[in-house]
Amino acid sequence: MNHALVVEGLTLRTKKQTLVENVCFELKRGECVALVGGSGSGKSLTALAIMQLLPQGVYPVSGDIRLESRSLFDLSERQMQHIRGERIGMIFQEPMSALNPVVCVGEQVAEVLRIHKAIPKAEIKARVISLFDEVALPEPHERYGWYPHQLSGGQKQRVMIAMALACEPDVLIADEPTTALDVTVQAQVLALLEKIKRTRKLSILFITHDMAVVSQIADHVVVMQKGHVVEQEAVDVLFRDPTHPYTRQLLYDASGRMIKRSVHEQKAPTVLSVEALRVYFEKRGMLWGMKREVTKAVDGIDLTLCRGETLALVGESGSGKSTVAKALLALVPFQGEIYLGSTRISGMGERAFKPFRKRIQMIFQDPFASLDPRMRIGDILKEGMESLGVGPRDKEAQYAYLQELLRQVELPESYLERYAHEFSGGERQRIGIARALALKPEVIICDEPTSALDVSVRSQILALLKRIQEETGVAYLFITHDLALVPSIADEVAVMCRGKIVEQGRVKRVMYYPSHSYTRTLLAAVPKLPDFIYGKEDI
Amino acid sequence: MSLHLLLTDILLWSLMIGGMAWGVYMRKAKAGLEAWRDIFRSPVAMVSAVILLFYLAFALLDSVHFKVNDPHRSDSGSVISLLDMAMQHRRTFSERTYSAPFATQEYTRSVVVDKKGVTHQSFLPLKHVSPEGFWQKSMWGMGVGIALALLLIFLHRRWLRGGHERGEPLPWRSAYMTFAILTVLFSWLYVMSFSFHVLGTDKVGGDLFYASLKSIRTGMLIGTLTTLVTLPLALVLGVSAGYFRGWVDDLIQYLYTTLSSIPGVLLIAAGVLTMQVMMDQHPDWFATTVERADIRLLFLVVILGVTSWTGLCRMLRAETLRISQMDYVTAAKAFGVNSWQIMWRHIVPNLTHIILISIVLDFSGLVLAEAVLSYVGVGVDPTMYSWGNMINQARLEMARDPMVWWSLFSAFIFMFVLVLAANLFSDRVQHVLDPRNVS
Amino acid sequence: MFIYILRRILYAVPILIGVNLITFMLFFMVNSPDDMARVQLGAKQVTPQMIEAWKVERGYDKPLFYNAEASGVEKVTKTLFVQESSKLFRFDFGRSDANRDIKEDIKARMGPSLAIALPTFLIALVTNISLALLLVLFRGTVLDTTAMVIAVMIMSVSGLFYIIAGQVLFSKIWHWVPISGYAEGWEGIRFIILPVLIGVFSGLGSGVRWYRSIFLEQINQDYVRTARAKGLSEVRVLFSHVLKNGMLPILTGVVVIIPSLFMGSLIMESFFGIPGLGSYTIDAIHAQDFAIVKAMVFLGSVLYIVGLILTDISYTLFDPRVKL
Repeated sequence: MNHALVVEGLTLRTKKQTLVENVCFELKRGECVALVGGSGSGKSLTALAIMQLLPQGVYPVSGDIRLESRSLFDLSERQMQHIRGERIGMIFQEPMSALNPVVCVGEQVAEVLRIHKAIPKAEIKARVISLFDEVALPEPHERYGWYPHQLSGGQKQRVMIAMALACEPDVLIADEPTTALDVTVQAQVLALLEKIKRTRKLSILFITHDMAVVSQIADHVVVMQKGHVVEQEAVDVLFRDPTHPYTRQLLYDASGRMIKRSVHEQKAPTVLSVEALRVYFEKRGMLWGMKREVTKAVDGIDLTLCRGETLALVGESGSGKSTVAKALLALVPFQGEIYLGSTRISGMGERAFKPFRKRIQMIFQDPFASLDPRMRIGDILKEGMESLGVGPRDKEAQYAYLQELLRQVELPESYLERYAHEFSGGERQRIGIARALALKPEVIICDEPTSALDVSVRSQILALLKRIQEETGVAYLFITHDLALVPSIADEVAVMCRGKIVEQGRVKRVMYYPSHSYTRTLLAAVPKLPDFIYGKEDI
Repeated sequence: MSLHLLLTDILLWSLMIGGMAWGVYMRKAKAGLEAWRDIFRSPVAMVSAVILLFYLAFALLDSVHFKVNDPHRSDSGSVISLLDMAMQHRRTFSERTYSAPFATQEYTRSVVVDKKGVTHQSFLPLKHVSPEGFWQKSMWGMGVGIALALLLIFLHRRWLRGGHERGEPLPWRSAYMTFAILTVLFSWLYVMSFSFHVLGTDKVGGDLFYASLKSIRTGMLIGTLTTLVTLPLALVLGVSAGYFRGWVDDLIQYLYTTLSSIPGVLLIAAGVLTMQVMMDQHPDWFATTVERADIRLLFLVVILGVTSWTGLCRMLRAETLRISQMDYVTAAKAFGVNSWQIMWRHIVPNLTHIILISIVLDFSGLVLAEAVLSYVGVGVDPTMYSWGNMINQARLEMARDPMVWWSLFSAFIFMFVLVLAANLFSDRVQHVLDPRNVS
Repeated sequence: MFIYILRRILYAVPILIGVNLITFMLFFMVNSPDDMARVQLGAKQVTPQMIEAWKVERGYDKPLFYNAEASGVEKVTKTLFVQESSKLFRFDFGRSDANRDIKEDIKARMGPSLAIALPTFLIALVTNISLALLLVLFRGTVLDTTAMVIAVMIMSVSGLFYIIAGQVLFSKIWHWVPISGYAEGWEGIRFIILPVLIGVFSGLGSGVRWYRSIFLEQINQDYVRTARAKGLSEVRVLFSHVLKNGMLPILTGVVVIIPSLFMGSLIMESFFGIPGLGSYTIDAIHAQDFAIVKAMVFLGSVLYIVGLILTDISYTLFDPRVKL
């Protein structure tokens, strides 16, 4: 028997709708199968169905799942408990919340051993420590007694992997295990999984939305869309010669090539410049005394942004890049100089700064948090115009202006009367862009505007942003953690690390000839698509 | 007779009008309307709402007061409400002492001297009871009830068909059933109350059906008006603490920690005692006992409000802290919108679910608290009809042998139905509005 | 740790001063020193001289908040407010209207209060949590929904009914336990059983619902899914993971009331004739004895603040994320 796991004609339903229909795939021993798809494609549900941990209200109606010729649907709950953890291990997307916060990590791993294996107590701890060693957790002896909040995200994911591997399962299901991690950590975790797969001859079902990650780790790819498997193929075949249009779209979007940037020859005028910007946060002590801790979120950075250009500010989480955005909008106290055009806007009071607010605007990361759920789209767009006195006052002219704005971001005019919660993430992000555009700003700060979106939506938003830039000549400060995105969107790039800019320059120079070691690490960590990818010759 | 609205009447009616205005305003907002329809989609919520409205109708009926100016009437100069007028036959004529529900005689024997001069003990007949034709009257009472219920249900159906029914149909059938049962039951009791003391009489011969109906207003007033005090306090302080932080937050936190550290009943007791002494020192403030009781009720409501805003305030502060971190607030700041407008436009509307949940949740608690406070002696005026006062009296009656159970029973039924309906309704409101229940 | 507790205790001082301010204002709004003197000296033939003498003797001749005649710091310290507050801070509660030493009364009455309140608290805690866990285990089943309906019904009845019904049934009709009274030692158990049972039962509805919602909130967390993926049985998931995490929100609600158990239950004690602090308070309210009410308010606040401090300390013991 060559197959570790077989899923056959799996169909999952709620009372109202079918979520997953007729999904079939096989997982060979020692192989890694990637389950790829956008959000809502049913890939995570499929994984949970294998574990029989489906959320309440979702149930399988037909199909079969076999673990080495044993049908899992025939097993009782008690028998299934012996499969979970012992024969199939699973790791999840959010390492932050997937570990029990009040139990030390060593105990959480030991628990798996205790329930599945008859190992003497004394030996269990040693086993856990050797597992920690295997997943390259530093100082495994000490880490045994640590609690999840004391570990970094990557370390927590290592603990999860150790937990999943503790009973030497045949199959490991990894549900977006690296999505919540920084690129450098992602690279480490992927390398770890790769190594374990080899040494343990483990079968891995890897669920992800990221084609680049797929190309690095998978042997076989199953592409899912809206609950159906649309294509499955060996990884090199699929990347070279995808047949289904959705797969092609995925690959096309992942490569990020549709945006060709015209290279500016002569230097455009500067619209925004920042000198020695510093933002320090003081942690307030309790009522009396306590020495105040100072966090240097942004520690003296210089930036220059030219008209009609895009400056990408790249950094990992905690590097202070979002704080820069807040400082530029004068939403946090800062030191240093900021010039908008030739006017010095730093050191102005709120009242003096208000007329300048319309010239610098922002687009946010989370499309669900950035629009007030209790307001109509029309009111959301109007808010800034009314506050800062931009656009026509006359009611009809204003209405026409708002309609024009929606047209600009490719949304139907009828949306003006509707509420934000009726729209998808991509549509909301367009509304967010329209809200910033309403003020005709010179600079728009884009704070990770695409990182919460599906790949296909992401490329649409990026294309929209580019079109707007060409039409209006607005300058973008594009904040992102995704170095892979940079060549397709930016003219200049600044790499940020712990509040400081370590490298800055034209995109081509930084991406191909990085001078700083941190940039090099970042670049090396970015998962790369294979060279033989479909449609390469289009460029 | 001339209209003579008490202070609490005015407050209750303005609260009603305010609530309705808010409802009309909410009809425009689609999202809010959807949530409300969602609440009423549950038959249990529908039934509870009908019961609550029934109680509310009595409270409102009892909140339109008139002053009797007619010198020919025995009660000239007193202040009576619409409900009093409807129950005139049970308000003015009372028996001598206890009598059981539907009884024709007094509950205890009295010493009687008959014509021959022999003294013996016997049960005296009740003065204001006419036992003949029990079934006829019952049929008549229920018939009127059925006719009235059918008529109103028919009218409502016509209205619905006239294009007011939108989207998924609501469980009207349960609402109609409840409404019909309540109407028939009440009309039967009402018709019978002309001939009997349907729930018996108390120690001094007062009719308990009348007393229970009068108590509705007291309970409802305490349950609703207290909100008028807590809400502004909790909202203003909670939102300012959460939004401005820093020393404002410290000060407000200090304020509510201090207040909530005092045991609730004691603080209320201290407040009420203070008020009582003050009212005793100024007997000239009040023209009638009704007004005196009314002011006392109002004071009680204020004291209850001042002592119970801290919980809501704490919740609103936490939620404001969360909301002011949201990107849409950041966006508004980037637009240069000032703090007051941000609070008014972005924060307060997003707190409505918490406010609503806490209003309906507190309502039943306050109705129950009234009973306890009246028992402790810091509740409503002893002359005022309230379930708390009824229970307080019943406590001694239970010790009698044989027991006088009906006044406790009346208070129990009236209170239980109201509080149960309120609890079930608040459950549903919480289920629908609490974002944590989305999954 | 020690420094933290010290700081918390210091932080309690302004709160207690606030509490004093509130009670002081309520107290003197209606009860001026003149009134007090008149009551204490007996109503008949009290001359203004006698009142003045009484006030001077007791120190009640000072102004309320600000002494314009004194100099320096004494402008503030030589006032009634500071005098009365400092008495309270020394737990000197003075004498009641019936001329009894309040401090002694309180000491004597704490025991009986605790004899009712502590068993009620413990039994209720255990029953509520175990019932809630049971319902969470059977969540979504008929058992769960029926139990929730019953819980709402229990909640919807005023506690007074439970007491009266309990007394009628168990004492008056069945004669199982005495209707009211109190005795020290093992003798007293027969007096305690009924109030404790009624106390537990009347809190059952809201208690079970509260704990159940806490556990249900936990059960939707990611770490529970992880625990299930490990192959743990549902019972084990509940006991070793959900219960442990649920303990934290439970601690906030529960620890804070432990010190207040000394205060006893007003209603329960007065119905059952228990000579505890609850009935003491009620009697004082009925007799409008402000001195006792003031003492109880202060005591209650102190106990509440002790409860807050204990809550914080228990957090550091149970939640590894909280470091002092």
